[in-house]
Order: sequence, then structure tokens, then C-alpha cells
Amino acid sequence: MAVTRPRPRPVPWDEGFWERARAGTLAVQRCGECGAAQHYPRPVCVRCRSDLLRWETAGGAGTLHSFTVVRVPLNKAFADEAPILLADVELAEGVRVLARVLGREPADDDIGASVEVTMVPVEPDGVPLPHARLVDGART
Amino acid sequence: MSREARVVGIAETPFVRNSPHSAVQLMCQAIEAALADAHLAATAVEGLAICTMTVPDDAPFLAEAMGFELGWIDKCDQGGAAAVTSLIRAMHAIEAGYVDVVVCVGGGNRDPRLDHDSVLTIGDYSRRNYVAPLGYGGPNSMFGLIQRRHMHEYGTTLEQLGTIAVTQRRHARANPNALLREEMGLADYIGSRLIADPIRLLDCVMPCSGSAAVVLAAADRVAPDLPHVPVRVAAAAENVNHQVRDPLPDRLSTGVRALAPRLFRDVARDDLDFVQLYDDYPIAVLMQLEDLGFAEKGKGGAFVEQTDLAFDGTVPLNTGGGQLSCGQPRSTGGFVGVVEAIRQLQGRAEGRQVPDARAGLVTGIGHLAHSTNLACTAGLVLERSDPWR
Repeated sequence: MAVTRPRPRPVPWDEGFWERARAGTLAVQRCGECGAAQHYPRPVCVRCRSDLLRWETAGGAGTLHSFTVVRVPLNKAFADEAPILLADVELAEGVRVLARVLGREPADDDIGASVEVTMVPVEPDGVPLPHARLVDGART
Repeated sequence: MSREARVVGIAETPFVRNSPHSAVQLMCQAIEAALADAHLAATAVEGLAICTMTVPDDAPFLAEAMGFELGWIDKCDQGGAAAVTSLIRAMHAIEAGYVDVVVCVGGGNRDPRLDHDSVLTIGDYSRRNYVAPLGYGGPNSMFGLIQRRHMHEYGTTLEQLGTIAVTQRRHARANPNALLREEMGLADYIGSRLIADPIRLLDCVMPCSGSAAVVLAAADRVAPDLPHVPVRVAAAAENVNHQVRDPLPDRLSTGVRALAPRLFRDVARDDLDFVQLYDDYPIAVLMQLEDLGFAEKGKGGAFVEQTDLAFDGTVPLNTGGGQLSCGQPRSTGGFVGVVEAIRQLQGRAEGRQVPDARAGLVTGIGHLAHSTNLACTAGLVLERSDPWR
């Protein structure tokens, strides 16, 4: 049985995220009324319920909140890539983003360390997804 | 008082790794057995609550296949919390005077061709678009992130988490329906292979096949020849989407925090004779112990280290072995704790009976969110209905 990798399937309110992703930028939603940031994208601001949401380009700076090493991916189509490192990143914009890890594998005491998040194309269709890299030497 | 609801019947099919029966067939078997346990005929059933997440057929069609004409039906799609929420909904339907006899049921088969839930792909768009495309490991990796953070922030150790798994395994050895009954020590737990670091093999529930059902009836419809004591609901509470408005939610805080004050209004936490906490992972049990107030946040590790969690100890935990040792037949998982709680209150937990169990807590947790932990949490305090009825 052929297994295919799950791909993002945009919904009306997150099309803007994927348009910007394809252009290589990571976007977060910012509320035009209360100023709150949120990720993942929602149809309304979950804090004040306004639908005046705009896309803000994230700078990419963040800290490592947690990480895991996926040795058994849920979807077997990822088996050839295992182990897959996933990081829970707190962006400077004040939201948390799940990302793959590039470069050095984090250790337990890297939690709280600075990371840089970029959008990197992922097979099979090349849609860029968030990837985090430890910025060595810096710690917040 | 005749409109009060009573739990009158329970049943589990044998939990097995592989079953030739489909999830729906297994559910039919559990329903028959639970009705026999309740001393009620299938024709008495007026309501059905089916615990399943993504049914390709809606609940009415499942009920039709099972041969039920009903006055009330519900589909409970709160994942691991669904068994508890199905009992809450059944109780409300009975107490509202809407129906007299309701069956709550869940069932699953590990083989996707024989299961009912697996037919559809992930429905939730946040996981579909922002988690799954990264190649995540399902709940294993979501709890990997949570456990890593708990260990980092509070110094929780593998030995402390392993104590939960090892105690439950000891309980499972007295439960004939537990799939995993071989002896297991702390070294086995710590030495088991990594699945989604720091989550290990013996942290993870084992998927299996089986079904469970619970029968509730209005107090005046309890069968006069019922050979065991009926059980009543002393308190019930649910929470959905804890911390949803916080852009940086605390991954280590669960909706169980919001349940605690509502659950312990009539029966105090210290008066519980046991707790059956939803246990897809030991770290999930530890966080619930904290959020229920058994320990301060971050001190759950020290609590399990210093507390006897055995069935004859001070805080008997998951006395039938929990899902970690019984196995998890998909959406039926939440029934493992529910059925064990009722068994204990009825004095039917042979070999692991909590002495004079009069009141106990059972929780359910379900659905993992993108950046918090659990979307659904629910709890029930159950107690013996003395005098009889």
C-alpha cells in the first residue's frame, strides 16, 4: 500500500500563511484591534474575537522551549528520514511554533538557548516548513 | 429521587492484540455483556452514546446496524475523554426524564481495515497543516515535547515516572483482562528503547483491539434482582481548550486544573478511595496528579516517589493496570478506568480490591493541540449508591 506524506491543505483563513511560506517567509497573525499575535492561524483573534487579522513577517529569532527525537514517525512515508528532530520554539513575536531541527542536535541543557527559524522547502512538493537551528554561543 | 441515574452494568470484551472482528462487532459484544450484567433486556435500551472520533457512518447508522430503535443518541468525539463524557451525557439524559436506560460504548480494532475510526484522515486542520507535515510521531512525540519540558523545568526523573508504570503493572498482574502481565521493574522501564525522546517504549500505551460498555438506568428502573450495588455520580466536570487565549500556553498545565474544584465539591479529594487517571503516558498521569492538587505543580515527581500508589496503599492509582498495561483499544481506552472504577465500587476487583472502596475518581483526557497539550479533559467522582438504589 503506497503511503504519501501529509501535506498542508490550506483553508480560507490560512492561505496567506502558505503564500508567504512559498515565498520563503514565516508569517504570524497579528490582531489589528488588540495587538495579540497568534500561531497557528485562526479565523478570528482568539483573544478578542476580532477578524481584523494581518500577516506579520516573523524575524526568525526565538528560543528552544522543548524538543523531541521522532524515531517512529506516525506516517510511514517519513520512515526513511527518521530520526526526525522536532523543536518547540518560542518566537520573539510571542508565539510558539513547531519546527524541524537543522544542524546540531540539541542536548537537554540547550533548552532556553537561542534558535533561528527559517522556512525550508520540504519534499515532495517543496512547500517550505519551519526549521530551527541553534545559534551557538548565544543564550537568553 | 427516581430521576437520579445509576450505573448498573459494565462489560469489557477480551482485550487482544489482533481480533478478526470489526470494531462494530466488538461493540455489539460488549453491549450484550453489559446488558446481561445489568439484568436488563436489549429492548429496554432507549439511549446510546457511541464513543468514536471520526465515524464514516454517523451514530444513527451504527445504531441501526446494531438493531436499536432509540429515543436519544449521542456521538462522543472527545478522544480519550469520550468514555467519561459519554457517562456524563447519559446521566443528564436520564435525569432530564428524557430516557430511562442508556448504553455508553466504545470499541476499536488495531487493524485499520477492521476499525471504524481509522477510515478518515486527520480532520483537525491545525495538526494537518502545522504538525503532521513535519513528520511527527503522533501522541508519542507530542508527549515527548511535554515530558522533556517537565524534566527540564521541574527536575522530574525517569525513576519517578517509571514508578507509575511499574505500580500499574503490578496491578495488571491481578487483572485477567490486562494484555501486559509479565513482571516489569524500573530497570525494564528505563532500559526500554527510545520512541520519541525522552518517551520510551514502556511509556506508550499499546494499541490493541476490544470494546467496553457501561449501562446507566434511572434509579427506579434498576433491575430488582441486580446482584451488585448500583453506582451513582457524585460529581462531573469537563474542560475544553484550556488556555486557548494565551499565545504562549503552559505546556505543563492541563484542563484538569479547572476540573478539580468542581469535582471535589461534595466528596473531598482526601476522601477518595482510589483514582483512575487516564494513562496514555506516565507523564500524563503525573501532570494530572499535580493539576488535581495531590501535589503542587512541579512536585508530582516527589509525590509519586513518596506515596504508595498500590491498590492497598494510600492513593491507589489505576488499580486494574490502566491502559499502560491493559492495552488501548483506540477510543475504548477511556473505558479502562471507568469500568475499573465501577468494579472497585461494586467490590468486584478480585486480587486488587481496594478495601471498602466507597468513592473514587476517574478522568479522561483527549486530543493533542498544536502548542498546548490536551484539548479535552473530563472527570467523574463515582460512589456506591447506599442504601441499595
